[in-house]
Amino acid sequence: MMTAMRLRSLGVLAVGLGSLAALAGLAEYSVTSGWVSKFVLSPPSEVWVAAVEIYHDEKPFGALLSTLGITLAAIFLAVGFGLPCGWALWRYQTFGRAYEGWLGALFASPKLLLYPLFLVLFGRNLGTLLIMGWVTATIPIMLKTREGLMTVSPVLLNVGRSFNLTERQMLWKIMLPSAIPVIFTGIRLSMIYTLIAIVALEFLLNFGGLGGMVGEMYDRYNIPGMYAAIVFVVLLSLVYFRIVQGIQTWLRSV
Amino acid sequence: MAGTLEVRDLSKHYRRDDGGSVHALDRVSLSVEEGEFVSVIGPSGCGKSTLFSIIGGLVGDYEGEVRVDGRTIRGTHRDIGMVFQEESTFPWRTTLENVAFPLEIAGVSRAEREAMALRFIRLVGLEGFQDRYPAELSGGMKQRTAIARALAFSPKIMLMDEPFGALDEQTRMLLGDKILQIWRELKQTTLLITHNITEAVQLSDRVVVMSFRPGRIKEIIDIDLPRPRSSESISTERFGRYVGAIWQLLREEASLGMIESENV
Repeated sequence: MMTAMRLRSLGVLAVGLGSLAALAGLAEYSVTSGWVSKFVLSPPSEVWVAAVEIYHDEKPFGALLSTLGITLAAIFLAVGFGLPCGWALWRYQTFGRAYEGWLGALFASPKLLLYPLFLVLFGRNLGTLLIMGWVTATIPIMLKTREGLMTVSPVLLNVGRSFNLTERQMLWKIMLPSAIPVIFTGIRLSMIYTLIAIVALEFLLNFGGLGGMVGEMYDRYNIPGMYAAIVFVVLLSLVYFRIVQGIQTWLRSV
Repeated sequence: MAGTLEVRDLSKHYRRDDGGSVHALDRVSLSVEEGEFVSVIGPSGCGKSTLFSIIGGLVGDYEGEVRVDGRTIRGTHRDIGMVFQEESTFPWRTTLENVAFPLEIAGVSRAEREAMALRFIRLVGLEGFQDRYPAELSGGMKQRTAIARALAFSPKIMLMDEPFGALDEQTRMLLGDKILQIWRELKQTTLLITHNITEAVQLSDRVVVMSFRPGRIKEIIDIDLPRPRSSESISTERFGRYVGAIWQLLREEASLGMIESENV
């Protein structure tokens, strides 16, 4: 049974990698045959060479760690603030109902446009990036925490009541574990939007990190290098997702 | 460990959204003796589940009294273990962790609670499945996990609300045999809420037949069938006579329920 499962997951991996290779092949052929201009799309072979050059000359892991560190810090702050706020919005239903629409609208708005304000408040430094990331990350975590707690099955709550659980035990032993998948959807959403916000700000402010590297390659008209830097951003988001998946699995097992 | 359960003049009104009220239960009185197995049967809308929720302490604001061993109780109570109709196992816990849950809450050490939980897992016939998650179990196995978890709480009285309601007829009968085996072993005072006549007759010492809304006790029938029983008993003539008698009592009430549901 395990072998069948392993074979199936290997098959899924092979299909994924195969599709990626096919797409890269198509991109390569599109550019080398002249269908698409080299100034629009770089052939993957050149992107690969540029990635190796960046690896040797630009020290991309410093940029990667900088973006990763700021994004994770913003998300940790957002979790620390968003979880209790989401709980409060669930616990005090009038507030929850009153703020849900506003928060939803705020979540959908382009918060990146606030960056000039934060630049004035905090200057061109890490603080602006961190606050921008935190503002972006907090709202989905708050909304999804409330939603997760609201959708806990009533029968599970009745089980808790039948065992005379206190309110605190009910929260820690039943409500939070039950709400974890929905809360983690919020964390994943916040990761996506925070990474976008931080990379975009690094790009706009030329403030180092992977966004700064993409901007630098763009300024040098190094199109393959720019694509290579974008690939590093994609790799970073892959690392994120693995981290969050690992935390989610671990949390449900404790 | 078993106790007596007594319900006296229980009445319950629900307020409707349109301002009116629903009279769910009307002066229901019944008692379940120590070690006795009693089923409550009635048509949909007769207040069976309301009765279950009141006795289990999940619903307040009612008239009347619920007594365990002669003492009036209000709210959830240590002496009453509950098994619900809906899927109620914790999906993030294995069978062992689910069954050990009440012991964990009670502060029992890990080694001790796992040993105790394993005993109840064996009792409900789930040995070998202790490390599986509910998603890996069938509907009947999940309900047996829920029964083992309620038993691990060591209640004096087991209260079950159609625990096999969502299962097919054959699984339901086989699980009825399992319930009888557990009951024989533990001699637990048990009150089963059901709408299945065969199940009620197969398991019970007495069957309480309820009327359609407002729920009243229409008749209490003693099931004088020899024990130990099993699902094989259903083929006997006496078993059939009990089923027929209960259906005669229920038929009119069930028709009222059906007419009301069609008029909504």
